[in-house]
Amino acid sequence: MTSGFDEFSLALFTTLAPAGTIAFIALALARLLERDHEAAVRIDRLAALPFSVVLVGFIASATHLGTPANALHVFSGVGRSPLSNEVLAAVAFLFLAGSYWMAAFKQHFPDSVAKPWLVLACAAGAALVACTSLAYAVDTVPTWNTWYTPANLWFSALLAGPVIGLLFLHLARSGRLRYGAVLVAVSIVALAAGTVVLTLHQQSLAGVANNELAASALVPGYGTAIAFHALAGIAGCVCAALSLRSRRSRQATLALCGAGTLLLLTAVLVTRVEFYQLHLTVGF
Amino acid sequence: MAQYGFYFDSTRCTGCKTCEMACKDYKDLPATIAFRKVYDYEGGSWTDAGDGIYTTDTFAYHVSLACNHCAMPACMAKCPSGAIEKDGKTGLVHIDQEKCTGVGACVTSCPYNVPVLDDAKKAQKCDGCADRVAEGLNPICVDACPVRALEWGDIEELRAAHTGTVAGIAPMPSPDETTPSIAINPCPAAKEPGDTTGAIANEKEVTNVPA
Repeated sequence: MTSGFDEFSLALFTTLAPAGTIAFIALALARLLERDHEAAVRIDRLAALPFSVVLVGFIASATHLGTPANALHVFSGVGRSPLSNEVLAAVAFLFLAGSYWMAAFKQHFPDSVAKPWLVLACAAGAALVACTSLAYAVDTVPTWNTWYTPANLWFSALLAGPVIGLLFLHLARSGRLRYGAVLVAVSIVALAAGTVVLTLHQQSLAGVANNELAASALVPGYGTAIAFHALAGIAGCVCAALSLRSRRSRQATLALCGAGTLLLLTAVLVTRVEFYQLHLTVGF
Repeated sequence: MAQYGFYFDSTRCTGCKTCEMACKDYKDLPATIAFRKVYDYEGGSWTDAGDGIYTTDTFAYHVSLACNHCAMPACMAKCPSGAIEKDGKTGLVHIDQEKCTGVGACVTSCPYNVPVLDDAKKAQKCDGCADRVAEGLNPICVDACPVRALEWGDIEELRAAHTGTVAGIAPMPSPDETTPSIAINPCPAAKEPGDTTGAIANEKEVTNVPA
């Protein structure tokens, strides 16, 4: 029985890390499809940005550790403990993405090296989102141990991630209209699907309780949070879509897409805080 | 491998909490932490028949619980750093402080509200007084109980010695979750796990809220 704000660092982690990972993948795909070498190099330089978003999330999660000095023992649980799998996936992604960014500064960085490296980093990124989504499969916590948990995490990542990726592509002056439109479309679909899953999750809580508490009593504001998620999500997607218009000034484009990014991250964060408030074991 | 565990006689327990205090004293625990907790489970109501006769189905009983040293400990399964180990000889579950990261996965997953994070952000819990057990003694709570409601030993031997024991009564969860090494003699008022007719009456006392 902790309040959601005790777990705020974890809410921040599960907002930023999956979204930053999807943003990295969005950038990587743009880089893989880019034929103009100059433009590809500009994207390479900005690969540090989604990497940083994930890193900030990862650091936020580490503040949740009471004794960081013992953190290396976490690797002893790989394969057995979902938390260990998550940390390993995060370290693998950060290593591959970070080393790619640094290696890309080499004067001779042929595509034959760059592309497989990026594909590997993207695979590690997908594994990170998957492992994060499965980290809450705890048999004794019925409010978390449902298919809604991984689904919510994926849709959250696919809501904020593509627009963050679009913002970084705008920064790299690589805003190709059609690709940007695809990114915004992914966010819109994830918003719709995510809102449906959140609502289903909220409805499912009516039947969950232990001896002390009904699950729905833990999150009196869940309905409001879902409504906020939907409205902020719509506003964020609209901002991102408006940033795609080619006749806008660079400042206006960045401001619109930046606002969209903030709105979507806030939309996700609000639902993540509710998620942690929902902790309830089958016992006490 | 032997599996040690507690026998708890709920027909004897008066809810005096001597077990809890003896443990706090022996383990030198701060005010906010108790390894053994006594849950007061109460419920029921009065019915007015309208002719001056009232009937009641109220009940109240106590459940004294420490770590159940489960056969399938949820805390051990979820600990990312492998800090929680089950002793090969006694089946006792203990936390290796050198490996604990304080991430709290055990606190989150234990359905018995057993592990807690201390001020140093390390997970702590009942170790079955492993040092005393190694000397052939009982855990301190067992010896402290003034009504002999607690016993200690090989859990299968305890179950054989006391017929009719169960591994859970309300407000405990169903024993299917973690297979707790506990044998309880249920008092007549005891409800099944999952019961919704009663409630924990000393909620603040048992959920690590400072007094």
